[in-house]
Parts: sequence; structure tokens; C-alpha cells
Amino acid sequence: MLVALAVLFALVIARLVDLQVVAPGHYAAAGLAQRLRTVPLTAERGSIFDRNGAELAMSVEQKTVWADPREVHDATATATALAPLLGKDVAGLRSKLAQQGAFAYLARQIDPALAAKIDALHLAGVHLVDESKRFDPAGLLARSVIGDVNLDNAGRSGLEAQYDASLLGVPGKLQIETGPDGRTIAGGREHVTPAKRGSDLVLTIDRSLQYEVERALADEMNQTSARHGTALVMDPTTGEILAMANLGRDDNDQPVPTTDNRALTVAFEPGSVNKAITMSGALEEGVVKPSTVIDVPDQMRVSSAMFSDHEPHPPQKWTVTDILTQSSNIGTIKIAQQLGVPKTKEYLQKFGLGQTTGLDFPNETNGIMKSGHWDGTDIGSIPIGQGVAVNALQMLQVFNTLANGGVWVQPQLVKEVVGPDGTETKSPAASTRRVVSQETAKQMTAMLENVVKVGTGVNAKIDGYNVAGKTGTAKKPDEHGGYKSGAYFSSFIGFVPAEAPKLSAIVVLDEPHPYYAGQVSAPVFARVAQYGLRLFKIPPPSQGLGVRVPSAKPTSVDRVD
Amino acid sequence: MAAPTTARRSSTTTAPNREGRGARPPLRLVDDARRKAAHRRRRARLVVVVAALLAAGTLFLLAAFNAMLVTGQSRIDHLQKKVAEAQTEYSANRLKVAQLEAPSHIVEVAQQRLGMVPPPGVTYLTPSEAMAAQVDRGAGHASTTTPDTTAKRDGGASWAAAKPYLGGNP
Repeated sequence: MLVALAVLFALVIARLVDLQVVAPGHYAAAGLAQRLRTVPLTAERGSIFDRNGAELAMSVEQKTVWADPREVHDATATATALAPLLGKDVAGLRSKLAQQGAFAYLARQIDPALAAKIDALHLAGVHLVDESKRFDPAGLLARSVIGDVNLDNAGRSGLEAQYDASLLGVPGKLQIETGPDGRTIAGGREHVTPAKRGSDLVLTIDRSLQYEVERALADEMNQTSARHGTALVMDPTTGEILAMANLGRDDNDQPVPTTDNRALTVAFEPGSVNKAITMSGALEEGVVKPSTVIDVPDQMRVSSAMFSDHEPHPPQKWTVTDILTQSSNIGTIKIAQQLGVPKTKEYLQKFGLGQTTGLDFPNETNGIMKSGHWDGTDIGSIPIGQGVAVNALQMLQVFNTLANGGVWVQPQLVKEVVGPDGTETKSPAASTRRVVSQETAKQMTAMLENVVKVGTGVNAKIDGYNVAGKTGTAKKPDEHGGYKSGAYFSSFIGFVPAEAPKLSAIVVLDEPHPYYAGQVSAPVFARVAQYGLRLFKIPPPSQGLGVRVPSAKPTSVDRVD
Repeated sequence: MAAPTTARRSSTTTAPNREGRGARPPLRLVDDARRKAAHRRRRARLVVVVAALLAAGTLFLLAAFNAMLVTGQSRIDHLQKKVAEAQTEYSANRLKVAQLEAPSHIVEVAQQRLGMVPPPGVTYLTPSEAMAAQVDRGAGHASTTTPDTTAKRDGGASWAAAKPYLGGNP
């Protein structure tokens, strides 16, 4: 008996030594693991502001409901209690509550008030965790520019994707010791790694102007049944994009902002607006002057192709200014032939065609530009905007260059990035390059003024201001290398005040009816520019342009150009 | 050396009393060692009692301190929860403000609740050449007397000159 007791006692001693001396850490760690709880601290995604600090996208803390199926006592009862609150069917919830494993999402990013009701039910195995949700307080405004995020708050498109790394932030965690009832153990271990909020983006976009541009586009789309509408408004002197609107049609055929930023992702044949590049190159190289007179028939063969003006006319002696105002294809082709293929190509490239705009926006297209060998007909088609494709921003940049005295300024969409500590990091200064001389730019501006005064762009006139601009009505290519019948891209590009440009804009309508750009796109430009002039308090300049070009012959807006 | 003397003296002095009262146990000399041991026992008991009291007091203090800690932690937990709730509420309010400020909402309220309608167009008033010349002269004069460049930039310098021509208009 005594021996047995001694053995038993020895065993107890041995166990004690094992617990306290040989491996004390193992059990201490197991105990700590039971008590220690890690709470993830979500990093709030940075906001996206307009140029005036109005929030266009922001994150707000919501609650996510999750379950640990191992802790659930009665899956059916729990599912029945949750279903009406979460608006989900009982069967679906029950299967999640009864599944294998220790984690199942029941509902993500729900309203905190609703989460409080669920919390009050004290359902075993059902837990709540904070999770932020992305909101666009201005609704679909500038949707294609801002983009969106997925359920895990990762940028999926637009600026949300482009600046995802800056916006995302760094998640933190809180480690605390808790008792079986979930309460924090006083004096227990507590370690906090704070979450770092993501940086904020301040855009160059103006919310009010963006709204007005989208509204003007929608109204025009309603009137013309256009499939899509795109409009961009910029400050040509700084390259800042003030509004960037892209509208399509929803299931009810109503105009609605698209998710796709078509101003950058869709390339289209620019048509007559491209003539501005041909003319600028010819003026810069001294091939022609605004007053140079050229014989212009209404049709002409170039290599194997026959080109014609939009309307038949007897042979004319038109000045270069007339050719631009009348938007004559033949006149422009003749000027391009004088300029020659290498120089024509050089100026297309200098103005930025076929090249990146520098925005690096997701899925941005560089357009299509024949930089290699040109076929015999190319000197006929490309100078008048056929056989070449651009995105809307690239084409607006051509006119911005003229508005800015011949200097191309890199466009900007993000003004600055504001770090979580408030540090403001301005976007790098816009790169610039001279494309044509100031004199050429002024001559072009004066000629473009004529287009609005007496040419195809008269509907772009704004009382009290001189507007310079150009219409373009380009046929849409089909899948077989030809052109669709009756389908056009109708565009107007202009800037104002012509003497000292502060605003420039492009309006592109996809398959409008009627399709004359002067009828459908120019009025949208006028409406948008008028609003912008008021919004930014831009007065009419007191001094003129300082150059004179021949007055042009009036023409009609009801024409393809 | 002094102790035996004392003992002897006491035995002589107490003898008459013993005889007077009858049978009493005989006096004996108390062993000094036993007396010291008793004294030590008493002192040990006292130490044990004091130690026990101290231990009990310490335990009580510890328990009280722990209770305070738990209460404090509970209060911290509660406050942290309230802070989190307040932050969530702040975010929700920020969102609400942004939604209320959105142009689409303002237009909706203006048109549907206040019955406002968009203007059919904007009318621009173009002053006559004579008036414009007068305004220019006035602006030139104003700029020499009050060189307010800010006002000049947004057309404010012309305001004083243009005002008289507006008649009854504000």
C-alpha cells in the first residue's frame, strides 16, 4: 500500500516536473492561444475628391455578418431568425450555417442599424465584423472616370484601379486577451498595429461642370437618338481635364453614364477635325498662308481612289481660310500634297496622334496611326481624317495645342494625392512641347474663328465671346473594311475665348440623327462652354488675337464635313 | 547573581501570609528558560496573527484592485465601442452630407419639391459701344486711384463705373 502510494506520488511529481520544468511553454502557449483574440482593423480606402473638395467616392464603415458553423447549435433556427433581416432565403443561410469549416460569410457590408438588430438576437456562432464599403455620393456622376471597386475594396476600373495602391491603405490588427465571455481580460496582453488610411485623390474635375456636361449630353442624345455621347472640357493652358463625360443607353434606352471611359478607350476616325493638323503643318512649313488661293474642284483622283467634296460645286478659287471654313476635302488634300507625305506624317505625330496622352488611364487606346509606309491613297484620306483613328482626348489635345500658342501640354486628371497624414503630393508638372509656332497657332485660331462665325460651326457661338472650333462628321467603319451607311461620329471641337483660351471642349455623338455635327454637337459645345465661362468667371478678353486672316464665305451647318 | 537573592527575599516575606491562609502550594522558582519559551510562543502567535492579517489584507487589496481593473477594463471596452459607433455615425453623416450636396439631388429637390424650372436660355446684355467706352474710361480712372488687382482680375474694378448705368437694378 505504501509502495503504491509512493509510486503514485512519484508519478504526480514527474508530471509536475514535466509541466513546470521540462515543457512549461507548450501549455502556457496553448492557454494564451485560447485567450488571445486577433481583431483585424480595416484600412479605410482613401476618398476621391473633385477640384473643390467635393467627395466623388468615399468609404464608409459597414458591418459584415459571418458565422462559425462549429459554434452554431441549431442551423435551421438561426437561419430562420436571420433570413427576414438579411432578405435571404432560409435554405441558403442554413446550408452556410451547416457547412464544414470555421468561417462562412452570411452577408457583407450591411447597414450598421440592421447589424445592431442581428447583434441583439445573440445567435450562437453568428458574428459581426467591421468592413468598409465604397459609395459614390454623387451617384453615377463621372462614373467612367472614377471607376469602381470589388467587394473586397480592390480597384476594378477607372481611377480606382489606376491609383489602387495609393487609395488602398494598410490594414492593421488588434491583439487582446479575452475571457470565455468575450470580454477583455484586464491587464492582459494587448498589442495594436494601427491601420493606415489610404491616400486621397484630388481630381482636376469640377463636379458642377461634370454634371452640366452629362446633362447636356443626355439632352442631346434624347433629341438625336445617339447611341453614345462623349464630351471633354479642359483648360488648354494647364492641361487640366475639367469634365469628362461618357454616356450610353441603359436597358430602357435612356441615356446613362457608362462604366467605360470612351473618351480614352474608343478610337474613332476624326474626319474633318483632322484638317486642322494638315493646315497647321502647311502654315508652319510655309507651304501656304491663310490667304493663299487654291483651285478647288469638287472631286479629284488620288492614286486609285476618287475623293470628293461633300457637296458638288463648280471649280472654286478658295483661300486656305475658305477651305477650312468650307471644310473642303479636295482643298485639304491639295494642301497635304504640297506639304508632302513625310511632313504630313510628322505633324500628325507631333500633335500626338498614335501616341499615349500620358494619362496612363486603364485600357486607354493610342488610336491608329500609320507611322510606316503610306499607300498612294493615304495622302488623300489621312489629311482629311480617314484611315486614322484617335480617342477624343487626343483630338482635343490637337486643338489645345493651337489654343495654347502652339505648345502641347500633357493632360492631367489628378491634381494631387493627399496622404493619410495630410501630406499633399502634387502631380508632376505637365510636360510640354512646342509643335507649331505661336504665329501659326494664331493664324489657325483666326481661321477656326471663321468656322464658328460663318462656317459649319455657327451653332457653337456664344454671345459676348469669340469661339474658335471645327466640326467633324465622319462615317463609321464597318467590320468589312468599308463604311456603314448612314452611321456617323459627329464631333465639334473648340475653345473660348478665342483670343485668350481658357476653356476647350470636344463633343462626340455616336450615330445621332440628324448626323450633321454642326447641328448636333456644336450646340452642346455652346451650352457646356457657356456654363463653364460663368462657373469659372472668365470674362471676354479686352484685346484681340492680333492676326488677320481673309474673311471666309458663309456656309451651311446642314452638311457633312 | 541577583536572581537567587530576589528569590530568597520573596520567600521570607511571603511566609506569614501562607501560614495565615492555610494550605497553599509551595512556592517554586520559575525556570527562566521556560519563561522565555512562553514568551517566544506568544510572540510567534502574534507574528502569525499579524502575518495572517497582513496576508488577508493583501489578498483583499488584490481582489479589490483586480475588481477595479476589471471594472475599468469594462468601462474602456464600453467607451471603445462608443467611439467606434460614433466614428461609424460620423462616416454615415459625411456620406449623407455628400449625397445631399450632389448636383443631381439639388436639381431634383429644386424641380420636384420647390417647383423650380430650368431657364429656357441665358440672356446676355451687350452694352452699346458708347457705354462700353465710358465704362472703360471709368475703369481706367478707378485703377489709378484704387489699385485693387484682385478686383481687376474678375472684372470688379469696372463695377463702380458700371453701377450708375444699371439704374434701379441692384
